[in-house]
Amino acid sequence: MIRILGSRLLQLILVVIGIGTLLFFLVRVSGDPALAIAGSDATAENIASIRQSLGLDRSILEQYLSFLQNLCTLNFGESYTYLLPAMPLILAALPNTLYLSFVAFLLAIVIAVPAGIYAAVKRNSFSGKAVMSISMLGQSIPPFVIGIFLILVFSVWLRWLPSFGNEAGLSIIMPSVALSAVLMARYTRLIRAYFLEELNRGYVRTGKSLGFTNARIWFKHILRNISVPMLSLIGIDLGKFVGGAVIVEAVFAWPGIGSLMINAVKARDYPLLEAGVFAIAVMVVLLNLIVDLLYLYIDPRIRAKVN
Amino acid sequence: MTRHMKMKNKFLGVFLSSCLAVSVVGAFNAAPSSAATTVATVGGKCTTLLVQDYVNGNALVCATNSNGTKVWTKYFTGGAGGTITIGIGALPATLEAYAASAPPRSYVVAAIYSGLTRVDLSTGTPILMPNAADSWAQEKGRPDVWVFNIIKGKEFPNGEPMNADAVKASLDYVMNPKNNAGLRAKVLDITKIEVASEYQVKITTSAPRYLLPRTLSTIPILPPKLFAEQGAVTFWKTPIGTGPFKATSFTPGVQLTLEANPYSLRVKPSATKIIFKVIPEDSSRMAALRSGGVDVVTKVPTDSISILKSANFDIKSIVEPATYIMSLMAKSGALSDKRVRQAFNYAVDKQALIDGINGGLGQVAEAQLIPKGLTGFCNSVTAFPYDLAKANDLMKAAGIPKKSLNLTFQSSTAYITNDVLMAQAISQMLEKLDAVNSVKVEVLEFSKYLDVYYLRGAIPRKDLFAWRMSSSPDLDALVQMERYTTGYPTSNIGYSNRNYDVAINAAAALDVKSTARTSRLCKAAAILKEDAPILWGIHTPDIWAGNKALERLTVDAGGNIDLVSIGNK
Repeated sequence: MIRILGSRLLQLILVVIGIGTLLFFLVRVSGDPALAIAGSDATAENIASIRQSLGLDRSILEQYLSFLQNLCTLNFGESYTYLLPAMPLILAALPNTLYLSFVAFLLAIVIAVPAGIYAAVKRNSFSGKAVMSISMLGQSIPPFVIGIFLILVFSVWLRWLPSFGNEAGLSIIMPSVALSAVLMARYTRLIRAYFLEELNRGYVRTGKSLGFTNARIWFKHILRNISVPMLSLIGIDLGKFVGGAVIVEAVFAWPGIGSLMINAVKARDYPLLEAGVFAIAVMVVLLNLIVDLLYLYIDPRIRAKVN
Repeated sequence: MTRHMKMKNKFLGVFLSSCLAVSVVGAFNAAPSSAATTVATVGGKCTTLLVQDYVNGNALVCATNSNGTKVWTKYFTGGAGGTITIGIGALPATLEAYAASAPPRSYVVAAIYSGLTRVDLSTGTPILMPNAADSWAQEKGRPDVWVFNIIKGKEFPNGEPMNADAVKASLDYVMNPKNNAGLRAKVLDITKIEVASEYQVKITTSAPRYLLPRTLSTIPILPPKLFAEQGAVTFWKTPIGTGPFKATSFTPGVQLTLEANPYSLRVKPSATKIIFKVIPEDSSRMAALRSGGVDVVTKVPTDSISILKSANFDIKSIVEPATYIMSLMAKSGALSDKRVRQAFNYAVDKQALIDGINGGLGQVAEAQLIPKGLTGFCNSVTAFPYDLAKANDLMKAAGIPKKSLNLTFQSSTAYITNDVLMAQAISQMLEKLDAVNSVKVEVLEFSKYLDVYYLRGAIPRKDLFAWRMSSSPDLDALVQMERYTTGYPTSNIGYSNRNYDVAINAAAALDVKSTARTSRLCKAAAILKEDAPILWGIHTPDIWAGNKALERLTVDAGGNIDLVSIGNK
């Protein structure tokens, strides 16, 4: 266990340094933030002075070494646009993103698992095919389109739900549905496919012959067996999920790190971008670590190997 | 409110709305721009319809009474307008007062702080009104010295007095290059600021600058001791000022709440609270209005207008004080011949850009850099008409062979209203010229686009470069026309004309109201049209929408919503 944690920690450090380095050079080739900060009224002297105050007049190597040094102390400097330390800005917005991601993910799992099982066991019925058609639809429509559709129906026409922000408890409903839709559809289809495969296995026939109920076979045995490949997929999807959250946050004006990152890209706010990407990278690596630990819990074979 | 009063207000509203449609040409000349102002009183005579004056906390508007006389009339009761929520595409990341002067920062700056003067654009023409200064005038025999008399007996929320010292400290801060104030470019001509008395300040410029009182409307006066103690960065986090509102909460990128400021210098606003909610996505912002989440929205996309109208929302459209132009690379190649540049101007159907892309909103730009109504506009210099035959003749006369030109058109994306669509349409129009083989549209992400504009990146300026030439906040032709003088840092299109430079420099030293200035600006405008280093496009529309329960939802010619007057019925 300690070895796994240690290797994941090492992986985290390497990933963060790798992503940080890539980001450092990418944002710097994208242009000069002094221009974005100075605005259209500024003089050339203003722009030069801003570059100097931001340390952008130093050589790229000097800037990179200083960036690595700051990375070690988690000090990303002050946001160029907000004039506040970048990391606290990200940390202030992070709970909103985590809240949205968590609710959306939970929603995807809670709906996809029964829907997938239903579609597998009722595969030849109309309702089973309908579930598959709906999931195909969910997978085909981008989250922002689903978001706009939800706003139109539930905010504009019915006026049941707030269309933007995170003020009331109800604010979470539409963004989380929009964000989870693709994942929900994908997992429904995958769970159905895995489930169908497992239904033909020997242990299922044995269970049936022993008189186990369907519910016991499905939920206690099949579901546990398909959890391992599903967990692998979830681990891969987590990164994409955060990317989707950025778009959904923009549609619903959700005050998470997605909105901050979009503004940071527009303004070439290097410190904010670096802090944001760092936070996302850490988040994804940690979630993958949790997935790895769940493997141990679910699959006794892996547990035995580790022990 | 009694029925009689409601009728009266309704009448006033209808009257004012109908007046708004008519631009009062020449109103600027009648305005108190450089002389001591008289204090407006209810029932007292006024000169320019629709102009608002703020006196002892009340907002007065110049309206016609039953006798047909123009008199100051009470516009609204302060504090009766309730809470207004505005859905906005973007807000500044800080509440900094000295960063820039264009919307959306100008909404915030004008709400929280006070400059020496205030520019009233209710008539469509800039009219200077008092703000921190009660009056101002040039010193006798010294056109390079302006004397401002500061309002007496007013203080900042922390108890510091509003006086000449505060004015000097604020201007000194902006002028100091170490402070990197974005607005420093506006005050480069100031050479000396003297505190003549507690309530009088003298400002000297390097040459006579008649626009100075107008320019100073954009430079807020701050409490000097607090600002010095806290430092700029801390002060901008919880700023205080003497504007009509105070910022009570601000979450960058999310929300700004303004509440009526008891320390407002001149007026108690109608609304008690104004909440700006940042909703960057256009469709989400429109949905927020339709769902009742917000009362007003900015930047309505043209394709949403009919939907909002049919849902019974009020649409307010103004022509921005900005011109969509394309700088033509005159340095070398075919475009160094002015006949080719003129041909390009004839080949573009500007009205089609308005009708086909901007929903019929906006205005064809005359061959000038400002819209009609602003000072320095020249009636005699008109737009190039759409005339493809004449354009082809000019190209032939310039000796450009058929299908020989392959051009590149650099455009921003989502910076100017419908910028990419307009770039594509214009490139197709230019491709109709016999001599043009192709016009490739190069869409630049905003930061790259700025690099090209400032000539700092790896991408050079190409044949056509689209730009939004904003006249805000000066609302005068001169500032924009100076950009085409020889050696102006960001022009770099190879254009230079000595006669143009002479005319512009002469105009800069003349009184805004003088006919000599107008005549020099007209001469310069005619030269610019003849040389055509620009392909003139249109004045873009700025569209707002609000619900019908609002009163006095107005957007001025500078693109600023009237936050002081807006309220709920």
